[in-house]
Amino acid sequence: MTRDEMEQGKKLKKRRYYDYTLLFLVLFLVCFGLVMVYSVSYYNANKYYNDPTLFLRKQAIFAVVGTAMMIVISKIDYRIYISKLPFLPVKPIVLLYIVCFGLQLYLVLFGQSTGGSQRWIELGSFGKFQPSEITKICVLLCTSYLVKLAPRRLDNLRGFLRIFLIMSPLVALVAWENFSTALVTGVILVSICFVASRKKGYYLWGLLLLVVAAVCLIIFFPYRIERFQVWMNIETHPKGYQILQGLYAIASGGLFGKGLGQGIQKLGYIPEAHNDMIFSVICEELGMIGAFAVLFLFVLMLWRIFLVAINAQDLFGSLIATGVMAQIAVQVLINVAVVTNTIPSTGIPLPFISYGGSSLLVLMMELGIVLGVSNRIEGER
Amino acid sequence: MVRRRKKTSAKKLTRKMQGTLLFVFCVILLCVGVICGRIVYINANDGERYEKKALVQQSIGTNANLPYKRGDILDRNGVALAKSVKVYNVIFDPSIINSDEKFGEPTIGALVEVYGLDAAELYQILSEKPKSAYIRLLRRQSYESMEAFRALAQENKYIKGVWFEEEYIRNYPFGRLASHVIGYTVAGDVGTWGIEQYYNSELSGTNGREYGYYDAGLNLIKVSKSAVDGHTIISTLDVNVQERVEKKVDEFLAEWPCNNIGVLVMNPNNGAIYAMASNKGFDLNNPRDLSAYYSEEELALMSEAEELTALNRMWRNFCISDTYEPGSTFKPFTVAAALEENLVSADNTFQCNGYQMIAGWRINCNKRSGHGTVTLAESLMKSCNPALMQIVEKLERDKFYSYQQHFGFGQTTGVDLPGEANSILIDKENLNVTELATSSFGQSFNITMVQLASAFCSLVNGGNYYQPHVVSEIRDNSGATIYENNGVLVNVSVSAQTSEFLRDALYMTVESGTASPAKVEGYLVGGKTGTAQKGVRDKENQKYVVSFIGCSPADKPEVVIYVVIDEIYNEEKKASSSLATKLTSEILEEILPFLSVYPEGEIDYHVDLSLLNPDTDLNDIDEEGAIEPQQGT
Repeated sequence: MTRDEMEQGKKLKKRRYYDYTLLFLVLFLVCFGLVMVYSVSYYNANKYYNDPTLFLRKQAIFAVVGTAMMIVISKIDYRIYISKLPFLPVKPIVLLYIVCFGLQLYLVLFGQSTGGSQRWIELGSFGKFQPSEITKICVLLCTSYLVKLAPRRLDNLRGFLRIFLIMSPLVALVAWENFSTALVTGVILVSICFVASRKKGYYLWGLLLLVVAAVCLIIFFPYRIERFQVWMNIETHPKGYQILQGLYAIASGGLFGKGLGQGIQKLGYIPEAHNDMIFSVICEELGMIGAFAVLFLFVLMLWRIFLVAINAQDLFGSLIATGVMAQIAVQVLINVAVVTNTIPSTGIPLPFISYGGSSLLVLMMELGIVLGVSNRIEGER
Repeated sequence: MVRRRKKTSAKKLTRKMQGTLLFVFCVILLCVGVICGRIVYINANDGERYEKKALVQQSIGTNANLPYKRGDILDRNGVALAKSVKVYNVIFDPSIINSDEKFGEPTIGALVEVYGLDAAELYQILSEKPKSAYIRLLRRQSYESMEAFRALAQENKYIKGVWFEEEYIRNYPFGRLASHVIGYTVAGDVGTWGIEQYYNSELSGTNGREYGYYDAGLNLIKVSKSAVDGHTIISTLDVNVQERVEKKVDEFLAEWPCNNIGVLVMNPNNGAIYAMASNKGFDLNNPRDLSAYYSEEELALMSEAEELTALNRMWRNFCISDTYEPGSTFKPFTVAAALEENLVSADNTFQCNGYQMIAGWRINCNKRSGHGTVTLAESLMKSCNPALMQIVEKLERDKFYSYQQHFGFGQTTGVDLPGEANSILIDKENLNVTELATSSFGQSFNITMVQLASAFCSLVNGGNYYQPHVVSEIRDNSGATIYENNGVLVNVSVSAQTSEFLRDALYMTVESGTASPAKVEGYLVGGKTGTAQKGVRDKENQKYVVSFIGCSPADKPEVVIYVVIDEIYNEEKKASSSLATKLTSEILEEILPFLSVYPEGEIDYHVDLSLLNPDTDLNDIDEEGAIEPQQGT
């Protein structure tokens, strides 16, 4: 921790701390993401839209807007969200909850279903907007706030259930349309509660219960769970095509990969390679070394967020950082696990790298909040 | 301010919470470690196998056949008789179309609009074979339709997943024209008759290939080996001449049904065949179509074997594949042989009493009352059998036989077409007086049309026997000539003097002899008729082959025409060579201008009248009549 002490020494002079390392990591990952999105999409973009940079440009716009929003948000005192403001009848966080609930309800009630559930609200020339992404921020802030109000209550199951019940309408609405997002949202909620509670026995029981339920489901109704079938028979099941093509890509990469832009699996073989499957192309083009480097960058980022959480000025800030850390970690892990066929498939994008505007925007806003938390850390501590 | 903050920070993360967070972080690290292990495992365990699979599915996409273009067949003026046309197969790719819901409707809409396909069926294919990338919807569509589709695709970027595969088909723009000579192809590039078969190796090219492979650095190398197109064949046929000949043949067949009819038009000065027509011919674009010969009911009743027989009969090239007894058209050859051997001369005369006794057999002349005294030239003009028998008596067996061989009747001509038959001559040993006598006027041996026409060419052109041919030039695909045939001189058959005598005599035959219906207004035509008994000699139901062979202009022949009509079904006219002679006249009148032989204003061709017997009454010449059965009393 000598380095931390050195940094703290600097902070004594500056008084205010700002986690530039974290900022740099985010910007680096976003730029790397842009490079990979271009490498993966140029062929198909050129083939189908006569415009090789189409996806790159769209994603770059979101990256620029996201960076601006991240920096602006990091300069806002995060405690404003939970304080009463003179011009608002309710606290901002309550307003956010109501807006999110409204949007999700709107989707469930009025979303025109085209091939499955509706996940977007069309915004005309802006493209599509996915309200469930905003809901992640809402759950993050609301849970942190609720825990911060009375951390002791979490010592037993009743306290946890109280928070869960308050948040459940939102989570349920998300789950209605998209299981994967609901899973991530749930992980944010549980991880915040878990860190804050002093007695954790009931989490163990809960976990056990979940595992038993999942195993029973698989044993008694294996045919009901197609994804499980696909996972087990990835090479023969007709619906395993996408994952199998991803595996081909990973296996083709070897230690050092084929070189950036040299992959062949993205040439129409991996469907939607620039979305959830982008990690397989990273493996193919940059090899295991490249893949480990990307994972290492994520670990570094999580470590910086972890430090912010440890050093935050108050419990609310710590819990926000905890939630963000849990969210990024679970998204990275599930995405890579799905791509490597370690777990049954579910659609979760790779944070900062996969193509997708609202996902990137929301992640950068969350990082903005975490940077804001780091900005409140005072040097004298 | 700082103080107050310190108070609120009482709610900071406790040590226990920090520990929990560290625990969570460690769990995450552990999971990352497991994932890394998993990536290593995939590479180590399935790496090679998966990599191969990835490469295999790559190379499927890059292998493509580039078809060669079969060479064209042109007539002597460069008109295409057979050509290969690029056509396009429409390939439907549901895997692409299903990749975006926006693609389906416009793509299927465009296919329906351009090709008139059933939209419901296409949607069915999309749902039944969603992963397929290659479904051939249509074969052999035109360039125009492909362009129309591409234009639609340019307008609407959602038209996706339809490809066009190139292929060549053989097309015969004139359909039935010169069908026996040009021949047809099966499976697009296997020549099966005529020039298509004889020159198949020249017309064929080599397919190209487009393929990809991976070099040592696993870079995809795409190689495209372009196709080598076949050679272009320039034939000696003349579309204009052939068209008119076939038109006249059709008209004749409609009026006078017969077993076979063949017309051969040649250039006597190099052996090039301008036109060759046999019967009705067949549609080269649809060579198995018998509907021109049989009604639908008849076709329905046909067995497979019967159908095959009918097809073979339709495809048969009478001009080269059938042999028959030539009859009197052979007489010039007997006369030529005797002249060459100096056994007769132009001023010799022969006595005709209407018949000649040979070894106890009475062999009749066409004029039962007899021609009286005839000169050598008159023996041809009047087609007098006894005169010829007297001439051949002087020639004797050995000389006659060797001249038969000399004129090319012993072997095939080697014309560049498949299916040429050989003649059937009487062996030298069996060529006794009777056989010799009948042979002198073209009976008792069988030859083909192309043999007689080629030999006749040499009689009238000054004595040069050229090999008959239908192809004059072959060009490679850069346009360079790689083969040329301007006439292959095989031998010298007769002297110039003999040739001149025959030209004069043949001219007189048309001008005032038995072949007078062959006259063409404004042209000098020389020629000889023939009426030959066919098959079993039977007085009641005798069958005949009537024919005419002629040349024009008679003094300096540019065109030789040979018309053979086998078994006219009409009983009255079955032995009438005038049908062949008239047909020749009609054909010559139409085709001569196309062969640069133009009518001469005033005919000033003067034949030496000393060739004629002073007593000859030029009006007293009958049309050549029937010959009495040889086994007569």
